[in-house]
Amino acid sequence: MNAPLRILHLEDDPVTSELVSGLLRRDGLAVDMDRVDTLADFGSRLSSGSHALILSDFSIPGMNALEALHLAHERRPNLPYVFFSGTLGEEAAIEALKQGATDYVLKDRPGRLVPAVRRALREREERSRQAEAEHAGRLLAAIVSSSENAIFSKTLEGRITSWNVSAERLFGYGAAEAIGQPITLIVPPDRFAEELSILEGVKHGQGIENQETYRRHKDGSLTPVSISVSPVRDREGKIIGASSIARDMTERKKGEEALRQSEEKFRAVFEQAAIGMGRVNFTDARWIDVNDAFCRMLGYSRQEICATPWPQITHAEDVELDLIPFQRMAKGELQQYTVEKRFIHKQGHPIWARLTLSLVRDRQGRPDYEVAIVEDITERKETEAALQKARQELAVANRDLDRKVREHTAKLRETVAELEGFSYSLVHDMRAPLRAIHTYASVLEEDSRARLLPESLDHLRRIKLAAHRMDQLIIDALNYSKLVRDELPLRSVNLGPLLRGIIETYPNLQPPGAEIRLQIEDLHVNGNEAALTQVFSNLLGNAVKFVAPGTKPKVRIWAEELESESVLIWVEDNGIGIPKEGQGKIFGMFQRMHRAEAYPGTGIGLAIVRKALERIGGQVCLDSEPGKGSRFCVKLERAIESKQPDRLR
Amino acid sequence: MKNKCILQVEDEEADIFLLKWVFQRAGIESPLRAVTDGQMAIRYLSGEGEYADRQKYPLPCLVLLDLKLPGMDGLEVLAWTRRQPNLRRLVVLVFSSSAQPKDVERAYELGANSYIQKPSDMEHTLEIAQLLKGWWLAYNHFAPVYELPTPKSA
Repeated sequence: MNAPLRILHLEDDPVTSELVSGLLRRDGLAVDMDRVDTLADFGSRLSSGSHALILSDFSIPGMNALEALHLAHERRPNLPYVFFSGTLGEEAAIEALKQGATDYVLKDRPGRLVPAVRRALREREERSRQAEAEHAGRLLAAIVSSSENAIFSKTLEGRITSWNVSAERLFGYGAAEAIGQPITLIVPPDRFAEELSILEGVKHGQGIENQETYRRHKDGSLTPVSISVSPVRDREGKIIGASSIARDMTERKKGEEALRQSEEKFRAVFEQAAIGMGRVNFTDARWIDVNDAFCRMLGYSRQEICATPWPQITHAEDVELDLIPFQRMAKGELQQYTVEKRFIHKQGHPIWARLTLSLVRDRQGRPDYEVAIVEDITERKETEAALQKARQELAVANRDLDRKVREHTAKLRETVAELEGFSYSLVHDMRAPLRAIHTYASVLEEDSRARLLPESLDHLRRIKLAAHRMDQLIIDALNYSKLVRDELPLRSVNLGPLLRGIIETYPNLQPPGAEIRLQIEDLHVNGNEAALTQVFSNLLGNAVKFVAPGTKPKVRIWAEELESESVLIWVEDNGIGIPKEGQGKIFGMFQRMHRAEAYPGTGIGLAIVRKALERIGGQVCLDSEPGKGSRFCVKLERAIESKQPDRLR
Repeated sequence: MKNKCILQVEDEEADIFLLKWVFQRAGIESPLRAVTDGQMAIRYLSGEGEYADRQKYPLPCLVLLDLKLPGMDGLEVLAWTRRQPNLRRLVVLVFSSSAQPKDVERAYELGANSYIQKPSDMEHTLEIAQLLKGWWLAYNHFAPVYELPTPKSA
C-alpha cells in the first residue's frame, strides 16, 4: 500500500486530472495519475499493465467512451473502470454500468469520487482473492480427481462427503452412490473398531499415515489398502471432518505373497530335497544351516553338523581340494566351484560327494555365505571302482584265457600229432601182419604148387585175397580219416592237369582196359589238391570198375559252367548203374551194392568223395539207372583264374 | 658183383623172409644181411660188437632201409650215415610201406639215393628184386666205401 496507486486517466482536461489527484491525496491515497486523451494512447497504456484503476471521462471529443470501456474489458477484465464525467445522463449511466463499468461519479459532485474509488479498489481486491481461491480449488480438485490414490472425505460422524475417480475405481462405488453414505460402506465389519478409533483421533486433531488395513469393494471382496487420514478444519480452524487417502496395496501384497511363497518353496526344497543342501559361513567354515538330506547323508544330527567346521568332517586327503577354492570364494574371487570329495560319515566310512558351491553376497556386495549343493556319488564312485576292478580282472582273465587257449592249442596240436603218429603206426603195424599173411601164402603157393591139391591152392588164393582186401580197407579208412582230420587249405586248383595226372597214375584208367575221354583242359576251382585227388580217383575208379562183365568201360568227363560262381563236373560211365533205392545210401561209410567177389572194394570210396567235398565246400550228386550207366556230378566253386597256381609238389 | 653185400634194415620178419625169397628167386647172388633195428644198423656199419667180423658181416655197398623201426628210426640211421666221413657216399634205398610225402621229402633231404614203396604182395616185391638186380647190381657204379681206421680195428 505504500507504492502510489497508479491510475489510468482518460481525460482531455489536465486540470481535472490535477483535481482528482488532489482529492485522492487529501484522502490519504498516494496516486500516480497517468493521463491519456486518445483512444490509441489508452489502448497502449492498458497493455503496460501496471494500473490499479481506470478513471474515464464520458465525453471526449472524437471518441466514444463506451468503446474505451470495451477495450479495457477486453484487455484488463479485472481492472475497475470508473466514469468521472460532467455530462452523463441517467440513460448513459445505466448503459455504462450495463456495459461493465464499475461506477460513475459526476464531476459536479466530486465528494463521491473518493469513496467510489476506494470501493472499486476493494471490490477488485476481493474479486482477485476469490479468483485465486477458485483457482486453487480447481487445481486441488484436478489433483484429487487425477490421483492414482483413492481420495475421499467424511464428516466426523463418518458420512462420506467427497469421492474421487480412483475411489470409484478402488471400491467400485460411483461418487453419486458413495457421497452421503456412511463410511462403513467400505469398511469391513471386523474393521469398524479401527475406523471408529481413527475418527476419534481425527476429532482430537490426530491423523494417521500409511496404516495398512483392508477395505471392502462393492463386490464384497477385500482390498488391501494403505490409508492416511487427516483432519479437515473450517475457516476458524474447527475440525469438521476427515480426508482419507487410500493406496491400493493389491499389487504389493501380491508381490509380497509371491516372495513369501517363493521363500516357502525354497525352504521346502531346501528341507525336503533328496539332495544335500546347506549354507556355510566364511568366517569359521561352519554350516549356518543344512537340510535333512545332508544330515542323513553323513549320519549326523543338524546340531552336530552345524557345530562342526566342514574340514573336520571331510576326508583328510580331500580337505585341500575344497579349502583352496573356499578361501578364494571367501575373498570374493570365485563365484562358483564344483568339487568331488569324500566326507566322513559319523560311523567313520567315507562318503563320496559332488559339491556345487555358490557365493552369496550381502547388499554391499561383500561375500556373505556359501550355498552348498551336495550330491552323494558314493554309489557312482563305487561303481567306477568296481568297473575299474572288473576291467582289470577281465584283462587278467583275458591273459589267462589267452594262455589257456594257447595251452589248449598246443595240447590239441600234440593230440593231432599223436593221432598222426597213430595213423602212421596203423598203416605200418596193421598192414605188416597182412603183408606177412600175403607173403607166406604167396611163398607157400609158389614153393608147393606141385604138391598141393587144387582146393588147397584155391584156399591160398582166398587167403591172399582176404589179406589184400583188408589192406585196402585200412588204406581207405586211413584216407577217410585223413580227410576228416587234416587241414585242407583252399586254393585255386586247375582240374585239367589234376584229372590228367590221376588218369596217368592208374593203369586201370588207361587203354586198353578203359577208355576215358577228358573234356576239361583248364578249369580253376576253389579246392584242395589232395581232397580233389581223392574225389576224382574214387569216382573214376568206380566208373571203370562197375561195368557188366565183358564190357569195356567208357567214361566221359566234362564241365558245365553255371551262371553263378559254380561249375559242375560230370563223370559219366557206361556201367551197370545204381538202383534208385541204393542211391541214398551209396555215399555212406562201408556201403556196398555188390558182393566183394563180384566187384571188389571197401565201400569207403564214395564216403571219401562226399567227405572230401564237404570239407572244401563242394557237393556231389548222382543220376543213375540200372543198366544205363551212372552220371556223377560234382559241384565246385570257380576260382579267379589269375590266381597263382597251386604250389608244386 | 658177387662180393657186393646188401644190408637190409627191417624189423618185420616176414619182410626179411620175403626179400630173401625174392632175391633167391631173382637169382641175386650178393650176400644179403639183415638187421632189425636202427641201433643194430649203426653197429653193423661201424663194425662194432657182434658185427666186428667183416668176413661174416662185410661192409655193404647198398642199404635197403625201412623207416619205421623200433627205437631209432630209419631216417635217423640215414642221417647218421651221412655224418660219417666213410659212409656218406653209401647208397641207401629207402624201402618203406609208407609213401607219405613228408617222409619222402625228408628222406631225400637227408641224402637217400632212392625211395621205393614196399609192395604188399609177393609179385611186386619180386619185380623190384629183379629191377634191383639189373639197375643197382649190374649197371650201377658205387663209390668206394671204406672202413674208418679206428684204434679198435687197428
